[in-house]
Amino acid sequence: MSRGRFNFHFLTHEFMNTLYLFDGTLETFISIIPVLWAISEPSDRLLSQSEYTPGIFEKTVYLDERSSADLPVKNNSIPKEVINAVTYAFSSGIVEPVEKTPQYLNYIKNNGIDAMSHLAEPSVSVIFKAARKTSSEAHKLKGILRFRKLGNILYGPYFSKCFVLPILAEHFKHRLPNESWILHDTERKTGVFYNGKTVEQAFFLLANSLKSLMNMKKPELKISLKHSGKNILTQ
Amino acid sequence: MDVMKKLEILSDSAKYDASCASSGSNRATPKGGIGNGKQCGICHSWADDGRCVSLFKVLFTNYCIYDCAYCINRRSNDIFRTAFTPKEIADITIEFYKRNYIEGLFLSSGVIKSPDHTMELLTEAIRILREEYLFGGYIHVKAIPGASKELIEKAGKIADRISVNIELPTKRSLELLTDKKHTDIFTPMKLITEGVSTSIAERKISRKAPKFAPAGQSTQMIIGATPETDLTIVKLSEAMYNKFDLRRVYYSAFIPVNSDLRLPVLREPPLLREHRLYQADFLMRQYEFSADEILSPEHPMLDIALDPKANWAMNNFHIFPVEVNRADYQLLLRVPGIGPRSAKRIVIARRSHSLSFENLRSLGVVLKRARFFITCKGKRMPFISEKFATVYKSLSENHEPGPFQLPLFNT
Repeated sequence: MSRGRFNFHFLTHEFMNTLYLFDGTLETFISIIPVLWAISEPSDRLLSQSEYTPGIFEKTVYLDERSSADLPVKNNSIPKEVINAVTYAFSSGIVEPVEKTPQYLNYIKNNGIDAMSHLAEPSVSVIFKAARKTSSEAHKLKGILRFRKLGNILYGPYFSKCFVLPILAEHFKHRLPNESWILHDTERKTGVFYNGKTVEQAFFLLANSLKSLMNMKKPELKISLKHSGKNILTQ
Repeated sequence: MDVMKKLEILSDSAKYDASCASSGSNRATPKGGIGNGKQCGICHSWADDGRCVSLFKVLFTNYCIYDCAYCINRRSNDIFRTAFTPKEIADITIEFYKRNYIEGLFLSSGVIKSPDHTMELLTEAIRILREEYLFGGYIHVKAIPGASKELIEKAGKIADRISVNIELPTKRSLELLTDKKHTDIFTPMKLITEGVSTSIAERKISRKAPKFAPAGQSTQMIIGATPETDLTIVKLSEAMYNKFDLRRVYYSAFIPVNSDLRLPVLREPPLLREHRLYQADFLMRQYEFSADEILSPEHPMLDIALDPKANWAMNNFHIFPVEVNRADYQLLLRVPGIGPRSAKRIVIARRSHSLSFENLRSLGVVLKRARFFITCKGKRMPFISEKFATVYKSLSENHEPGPFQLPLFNT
């Protein structure tokens, strides 16, 4: 190499940080956690492909559901609390915790499960705050979500900033195990239908008709006194 | 009478029963949102595992054979009286529960015919819920003083929490203001304590042994209707926590609803005093304070301007500042602005990093209060005064009464 020219040698793969890309869905995110747990380094980042802007100082690696197929590490070797924390942080909808997920996983792997409480560490703090945001919104919705009766089905529309549908579905599956109910995330136009046995994902293609129902003036609760009847409250 | 009308009357009558600090909150439905905080007596409480639950708070009946001076439902009051049937209570609870309006039932009652008769009705309502509807939600039921041991035991086996209201802090006050119904509050309390401890012991031997009030017992007392000091009240609460293993003591500011010569005339209910007592109560339950540390015979009333923890810190100003990177957990708990959760976080987080003020903020420490009492890496926060008077002024809350309309006819 001639004198006076900039030396690009340090930009070889050994010295470059890695930027992992994925399709931005929760399913893929969960599937690539074992990959990140196994290979991520302290300065690596993760981004949804839609957020990606090409740069020269990072090598990019695309991850998808198949990326974990050849890994020796499976989901069950990662502490459940760690998977929950990063999944909840992802569900908050904030970019920063997703970006710091590789750093977080690397830090926890190297320092043990107790490191989840090292809130002075930036990556831990970011994941902690985002996960708490999701869990507190889910907690509030568990209390304030209201069902209304549509025939024999309980219909529960709600609005949330974080994606809390799986948390709510699990909660109401245990709470109302013998009822049929629908949870409708009106923000994302998705939901779940529980038929008394299994939870199925429902995409609200008929969102408009449901929306008109939701916008209907809230019916007053009428109570008819029928001790022998099954339902004494009707909407 | 229509059930809805009964619900309106009896949930309104139940608003004086406290099952949590935030009872009586009234929140309208946000535009485009769902849910509100005025669903016929629903309020918040805490289950035995610490979960926050919203309750259907209602009286079984507002008929009462007693004539207590402070009670809206007393016998001599001319109010609309009604009563649910046990089946009605169970049906409404289930229908509300299915719609996720509530997470449980808080059932209290006036005394109809006799304590035993009332307790039978309450027990029957919760039995229907548990056995006929297989209701697994939270149930808090009031034990009626004077009811038989068997009925209280039966209720305790069905309910999650059972409570007896102590009503007033001393026996003398009870004799002055009540209709001799409260001659013996501590006997049912003791009975419940024994039931809970027996159940815990039995369940250690066999998991199939029946639970007895797994969320424990609580009680409630009225503040400001009688002249007891805060020291008397806090000491009584401490004694009850220690002796009866109570989960909570609820304080209810006296609201004058009856005109009675035995009652004091107040311009407004002592809500701030109630708030301070809740703070002092929290210090005893969560912060390992004793009643003697909070108040003394020389200062028997809580400082209205300062919360009890800040007041303790000001009285022990020589201990501070403490270094957050070295102080033990118990000392951190004594710092205003640091709670049990943030103290635990500090203890864990400082193992890996030396903590700065910025770190403390992210750990949940309220620096606005804590900054006067701590150092980080040996340094105080910049521009923080060390003078007692300045710190006192910064911590004290302004509770000066605002302008109010002068009465035209009173002198």
